[in-house]
This record gives sequence, structure tokens and C-alpha cells, in this order.
Amino acid sequence: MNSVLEIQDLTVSIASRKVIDKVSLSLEHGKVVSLVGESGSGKTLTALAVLDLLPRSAVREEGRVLYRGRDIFGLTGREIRRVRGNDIAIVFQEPFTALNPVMRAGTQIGEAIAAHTGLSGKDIAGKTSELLGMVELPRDVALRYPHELSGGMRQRVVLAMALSCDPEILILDEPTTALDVSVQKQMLDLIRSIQSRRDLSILFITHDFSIVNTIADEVCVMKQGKIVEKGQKDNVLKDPQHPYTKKLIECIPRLGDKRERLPA
Amino acid sequence: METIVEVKNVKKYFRKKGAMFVRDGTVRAVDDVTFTACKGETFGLVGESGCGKTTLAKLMVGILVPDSGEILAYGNKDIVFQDPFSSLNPRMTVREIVGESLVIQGVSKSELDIKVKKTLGMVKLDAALSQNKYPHQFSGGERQRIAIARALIGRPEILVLDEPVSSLDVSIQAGILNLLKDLQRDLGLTYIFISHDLRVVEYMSDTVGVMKDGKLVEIAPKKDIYTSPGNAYTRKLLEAIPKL
Repeated sequence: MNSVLEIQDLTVSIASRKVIDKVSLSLEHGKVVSLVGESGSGKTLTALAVLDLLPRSAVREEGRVLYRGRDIFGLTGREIRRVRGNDIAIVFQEPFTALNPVMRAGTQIGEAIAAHTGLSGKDIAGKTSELLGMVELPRDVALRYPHELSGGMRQRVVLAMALSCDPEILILDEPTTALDVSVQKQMLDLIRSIQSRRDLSILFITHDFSIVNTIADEVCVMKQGKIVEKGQKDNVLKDPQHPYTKKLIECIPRLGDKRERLPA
Repeated sequence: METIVEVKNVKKYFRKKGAMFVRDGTVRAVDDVTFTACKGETFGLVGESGCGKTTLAKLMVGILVPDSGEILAYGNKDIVFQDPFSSLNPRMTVREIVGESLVIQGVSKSELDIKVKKTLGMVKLDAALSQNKYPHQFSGGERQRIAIARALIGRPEILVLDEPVSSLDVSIQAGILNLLKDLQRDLGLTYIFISHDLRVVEYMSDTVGVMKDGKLVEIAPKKDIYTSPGNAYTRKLLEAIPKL
């Protein structure tokens, strides 16, 4: 077993309520693990905890997050900043809020490159071009402002920024939720192809089991701060054990659905 | 089957101001759209963002006026928008939001109280607990129920639902879809149901219209849409759906 990221018994509370409750999960090198659950289940907080970015109001009660065997919470400020972006990068749900509205897309990607690598000037421009190519955007997107781009293009720009310093782990927090189904498919295809080409390890957060099925190798189902079920994606989908997992799978309408009601 | 909505050759173009070095142009948001919806049924409209769905929704309830063509509706109409956060005034209580249209009509306070309570009950919200709260105190699904209640209080026969579940989690989405089905059955409502997700449209609708670049490229009974899609674009939308 070759796990690059390991969360062990992580417990976090806000206002003495446990929002993450003994969560353990492990991400193996080159795999996609999906953390699935409804909003408010603690998925995003878990992602933030991995980067030691929990809000001030959150108290870490117990547990560890190990990146390559090193405890994230034991790092100095300098060390953790090196891990963020360089080793572990994150993409959030809403691409519009993640981008600066008054900066051209290329400048923002360049800024990310400059912050994490020693590159300057022409090299940054070259790398920006390369990253745009990697996320399958035309080069001239670099000159455009976020509002001139569609939701799908914006999310690709954010992905390019996340990839700017060749992270080993990518955390994607509902990266396709704000997108149309057809744009979502293109984005998922792109993530899969980048993942396999660059041998990335991905923690993919979603509320939608049809996306889990498309993208994940393994799945952890989260409910009210707890992991209620985990396993290989195919096994969980074929034979879900926890009623909550069943509900999450069955609440999605399918084509040709004959059901009068959906489990809600 | 009794026709309740007729949309005939409706066009709505917008002038688009060009950006720097880009010429001004025309956006054909709704371009010669024709369809009919039958009483008590759901006409589903599916298409990607930018295809003109929302413009068509606004035309149908009279928020926008068509450049040409006509929309005939034999009944009262109302609309529910996608984002229940921006569609509800954050400074108004639920009671004020849901009852506003009746206040404008000059309905008495006692009648208003009764109707607000009853309508909140119809969307499965507890009036006593919810009517004096503000939108931010509710979850996304609850906010969408409030928006539905606001639309229902005027007793519309036709409800235009513009992406009513797109900003919700799939499990919350299921609850709203169930509610909409119940309301349709109990009140005999006619829905114009708009979404980018063909699964949801297909689940809710009797007839499905596929919209692309302002045009309806296919109209068919729902079973034909996924068993034998007649249009390349419809097939593309079908293929984009993640399998489960």
C-alpha cells in the first residue's frame, strides 16, 4: 500500500458540535477517491483540514493528516505553505469567485506560477501557454477576463492554476456542480485524462453518485461528519450497505425512469 | 387533450454591444419557437446554458415581450427561478415574500394569514415555524419551497419552472421533484419545466423540447427522446449524462 495522503481519526468541532467525526480515509498514489455526501455533511471542511485551512472557529479535537507520512498539523507555517500548491492543490466549486475579476486569465495563471516556482518573465509566459494547452483551452484565453469566459472555461483556468506547480495531489471540491451536464462531461473527461497522464492522486468531493461513477476508483460516503461507508466504487455502487448510500444512489432520476417518486 | 399554452413563432433578439475590437451583433435568444402544452401536463425544455431557455421562460410569463410571434395562455401563469437565494428578497420574512402578491391585490390581513399558512403547508413547510423567518435561515431546498409557495399563492394554472433544482444537491433535488409531482396531481397544474439535465426533464415531462441556439431542434413525447432521439444535438445531450 502506497498512500500519499492519510487522514486518521480526524475529529473537528465548531461551537462544540462535531462537524468532522473520526474521519479516516486514505488516498493511494495515482488513485481517485471520491468523498460523497449532502451539503453540510462535512466534505469541504475535511478538504480544508487536509491543507490546515480550517476556519478559526473550528477546533481540532483529535486525529492526524499525513502527507507522505508527515503530519500536516506538525508543520511550521513555512513548511505548510510549501505543501499547499506545490504538493497539494485545491479547486473549489465556484470558478467565478476563485478568480480575480479585474485580472486577465493568463496573468492569474502566471501569478500562481511565480508564487510557487522560481520562473520569471518569458518562462512564465511559456508555462502559462503550456498549462492552457493542458486544460485544452485556446492560448488567447490568457488575454481574456473571467467575465468573458463561460463557466466551463473559467473552471479550466482554475484547474490550470492548480496544476501550475505540478502538485502530487489534487483536491477537487465539487468542480463540476455549477456546470451544465454536457460541460460537466467534458470537464470530467479532462480531469481523468490529466490524472492518468500525470499520475495524479485526486480527492474528488461531490454530492452526486453519477459523477462518482464516472470519475472515482474508491468512494467514501459522508453523513453528518462521519464516514458511513467506504469501498471500491463498483462494489459500493452495486451493493451499497448503508441506507444513506442507497438513498444517494437512488435519488437520481435515470433515463426511462418509471418510478413515481424518488427517495428523498 | 386540452391545449392551455400556445407558443407561436416567437422571436426575441437582443442587441449585443461589442467589446473592444469586437463588432456589435445580434443574439437570437429565441428564434422562431413554436410549441403547445396541454392542460395538466409537463412540457420539458432542455438545453445548455446560453441556448435561450430562460429568455423563453421570461417571455412566457410576460417579463419580456416577444419581437414577433405570440404566446397564448388560457390560465394564470407564474414562475419559479433557479437560484432561490437571489430570487427571494433577503430583507423580507417568508410571510411577506409568500403573501406579497395578495397584499398588492388588497387582500385583507385575516385572509392573507390563512392563505399564507395554507400555501406553506402545500409545499410542506411548517407555517408556524417558518413564516417569520428570513430566507438566509433556510437551506437551499427550503428556499426553493418558499419560492414555489410564492408562485402558488395566486392559484396559477400554469407554472414556469426555470431550472428549479439545478442549484440543489441530488438528494434535495429529489424532494423538490416529488413535491412538484404531488402539486401537479393535486392541483391539476401545467408545468413548463426547464433544465440543462435531460434526466430531470425526462423524469418530469410528458413532452420534451430540445433547445439549441434559440431554436427548438426537436419536440417529442418523452419516451421517444431517449429511445430514438431524432436529432444529433439531442444525442449529444444524452451521451453527456453520467451513467449510473
